[in-house]
Amino acid sequence: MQSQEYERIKDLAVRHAQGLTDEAEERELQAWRESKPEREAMFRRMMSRQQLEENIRRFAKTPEEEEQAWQQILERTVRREKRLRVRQWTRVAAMFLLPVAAGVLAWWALERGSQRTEIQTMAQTLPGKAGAILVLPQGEQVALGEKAVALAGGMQNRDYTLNYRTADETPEKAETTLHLLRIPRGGEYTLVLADSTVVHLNSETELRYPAHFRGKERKVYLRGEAYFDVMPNAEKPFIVEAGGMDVRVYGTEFNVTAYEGESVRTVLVEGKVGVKTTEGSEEVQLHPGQMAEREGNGIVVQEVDTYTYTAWKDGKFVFEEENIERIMERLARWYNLNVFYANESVKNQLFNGVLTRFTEVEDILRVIEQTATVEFEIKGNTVIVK
Amino acid sequence: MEKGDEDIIKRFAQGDERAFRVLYDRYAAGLRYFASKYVDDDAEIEDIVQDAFVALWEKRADFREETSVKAYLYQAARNDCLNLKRHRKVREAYAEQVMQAGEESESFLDRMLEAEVYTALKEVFEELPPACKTVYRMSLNGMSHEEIAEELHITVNTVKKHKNNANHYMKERLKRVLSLFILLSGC
Repeated sequence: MQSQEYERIKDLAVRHAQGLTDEAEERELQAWRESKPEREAMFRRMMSRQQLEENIRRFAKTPEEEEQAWQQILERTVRREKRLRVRQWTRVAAMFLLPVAAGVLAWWALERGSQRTEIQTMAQTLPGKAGAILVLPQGEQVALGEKAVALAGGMQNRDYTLNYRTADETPEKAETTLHLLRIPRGGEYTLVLADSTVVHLNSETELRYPAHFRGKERKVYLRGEAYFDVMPNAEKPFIVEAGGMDVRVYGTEFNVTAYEGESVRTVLVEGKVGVKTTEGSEEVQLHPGQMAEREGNGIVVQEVDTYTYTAWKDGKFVFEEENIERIMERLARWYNLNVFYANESVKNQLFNGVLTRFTEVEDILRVIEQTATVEFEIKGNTVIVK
Repeated sequence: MEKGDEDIIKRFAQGDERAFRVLYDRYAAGLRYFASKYVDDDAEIEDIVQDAFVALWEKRADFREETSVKAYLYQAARNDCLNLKRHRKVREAYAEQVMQAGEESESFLDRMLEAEVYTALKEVFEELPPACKTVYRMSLNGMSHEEIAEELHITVNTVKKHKNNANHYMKERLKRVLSLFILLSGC
């Protein structure tokens, strides 16, 4: 079939369905139908109300489902390229800006006549490179990254994304055995769960989840930080249990932080979630732009700028009146650093700024040095704060 | 071809996200139906369609007209389907159905034609008002009037009215698309 004939037949078939064809066109269509036995059957299928309705039911998704699928495509195309561009851009920028920054620094130090300790030259500490370790229920461990791999159990991995949508059906009793995805320091990963929920996992984070969601709810367990884009399903609520906080989701986007030694926080970007303590306090409803924080045995809610909490997902650090200790904790996770303080009092100094996660750590520390009165000494992976 | 399409392809070739979305909305449903001719599983079908669009994006600078975009999408989907089947055959050691190259390319065009005609007819469904569409869809999924009414917080009468309107409109616009029995009763 030539492409001209193809377009002609398509046009005739559609107009036939609408009752718009004339006799000559009907004859033309008839000839095509008789040209091959399969074509008559195919034509009847095309003109059958049952088949059309079955196709609409199965293949014409709801706007919400379509949006979810589209977001996944964006993640793998437009957004992926943007992320790569940020990386390339910062590399170029570093080439041009570094000498200038160093120059300004030297001048400033001289001017002040200060006793600034020279930053020692050292091997560059590179920003985190995405990677993850998958721990299967039997304890088997698999290292994952950019490479495309098809895993036993039907999961697919590629471009720093692990996908469970193709996972094999497991027997009922397997529902309690959970998979674990561990993101080491310096890593970042995307996980697509069996229900199409997308989870962005930050450095030093662990998420436990089943390969398939059975039963009345979809429950996952988080340690660390993750951004959730949950597939709506009113009959099966999505629940994140994190450091003594239970977040119940009604289809939405939000960020949960639950690092050890830090308070557990949930920031809602879009939609609706309910939050309670794991011990079972009363559920508090969060609205977009609000943050829930666990304090003692209760939950405290406040209005926040959500971008400050979710920017990591887009490759940025956003610090807003944040103290040096908190900042160093976040940098340490991403750049895999050991941090020591020569002087405890500097821990409480505050800093504001938006920095890209894909620059080298010294550049970030230098920017901080210029606005806060701290100094950093870097040796390999160790940073001493003075 | 519709007006403004050349512009969409031009914008898409330059990396415009909205133009990309227009193409997605235009072809995703048809590609799903097309893929279902090769594989059964809905999750697999969804992945095949997503892969086709990702591949299309990577090649975006090469396209000048929509026919080649369309051909590329369908071919990418087909190759993915066949790879999947081949893979499965090796894995499960099936020994049947060796497709002949010529025969396959012929049925490829027929399958694509069928998917495209479906896409065109589905447009009539897309023209329905949103509430009407939702009711119609729920009804196709086997929900009763009462269940739909409860889910959408509307009365059973309103459900019937929406269904009636949908049915009437579909019949009016697709005069020769016939059913042996009327699926949507109560009209």
